[in-house]
Amino acid sequence: MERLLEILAGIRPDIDFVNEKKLIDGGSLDSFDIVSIISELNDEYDIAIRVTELKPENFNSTEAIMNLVEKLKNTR
Amino acid sequence: MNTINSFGDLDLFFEKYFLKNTLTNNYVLAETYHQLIDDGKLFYYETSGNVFLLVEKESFYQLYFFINNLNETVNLLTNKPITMEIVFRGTANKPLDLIGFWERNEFKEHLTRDNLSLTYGKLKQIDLNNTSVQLKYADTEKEAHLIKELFEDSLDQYTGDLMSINEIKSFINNKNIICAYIDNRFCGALQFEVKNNIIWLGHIATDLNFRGNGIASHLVKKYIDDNTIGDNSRYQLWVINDNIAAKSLYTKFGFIYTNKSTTSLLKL
Repeated sequence: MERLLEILAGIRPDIDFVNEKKLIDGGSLDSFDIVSIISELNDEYDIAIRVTELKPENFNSTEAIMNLVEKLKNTR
Repeated sequence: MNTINSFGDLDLFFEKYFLKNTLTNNYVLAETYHQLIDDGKLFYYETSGNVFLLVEKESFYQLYFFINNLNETVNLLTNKPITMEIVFRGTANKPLDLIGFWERNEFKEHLTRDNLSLTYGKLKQIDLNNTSVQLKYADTEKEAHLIKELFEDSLDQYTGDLMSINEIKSFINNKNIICAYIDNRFCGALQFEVKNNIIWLGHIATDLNFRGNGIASHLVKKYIDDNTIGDNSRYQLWVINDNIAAKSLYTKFGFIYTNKSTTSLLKL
């Protein structure tokens, strides 16, 4: 989780990724940010995010993003 | 160019082409893809290493790419111009290699926009001297057409995200368009939209014949004041990078650069 927080902070240093639970619904992240995050996740975790995963709920919190990463790592 | 007929087909493209280190400008979410496929508006062009998704708009195609091989040649043949947006973080990170790839494939760099943001607590109060500017929310059919004409005359036809008359009417119904008048003559308009708790300034334009009257300042001030809930109310917009006058206007209110920009490329 710490590495993920580092990655996210590198993309948007202005956001509190530890406490924010509505990153998309609350307007902190937009679809452009999701692209940056996906790109970094693909590189870091060697996963491929499918189009079906491009849903706001998968990016609303650090925990949700981590769950997505774990799910994709397990389905490689 | 072929039509994408099912979400499953699209998912296969992602599996095949969206790999580690793939270059992409894709920022379309699954729900939007579903709608585009249902409407028959989503097409693709495939090469050995890359795939390109094209969304059909009224007068052009919007392109999203998944590029794994920058050495390939791409010849996209369409009956309308093609445009795309490439987002990047700060001018130091402008993706010159990617832009070079597209320039080798007959695209030209078009406009660069910067993302600006303001929270109400950081708003700078400014004096608006010209009291002859009258503001009101659009509420008539005639205004809908005046707004459409003004935006079409003022904004970029490919990247200005121009609205149909029905979209304008919908925003009017939601009280999302402010009109400006001087001496009862329509002279400017601002459209905004609340998305995910951010109050987005979507479109703003002033009639050429009325420039210099502070109309845009009046419109922006009302857009801010009327949508404030508290100090944390957030406003955002995209402004053309070299539009010094517009950037100066927003800076005057306290908007700051979010370190996010987008460059559009165009193939006519």
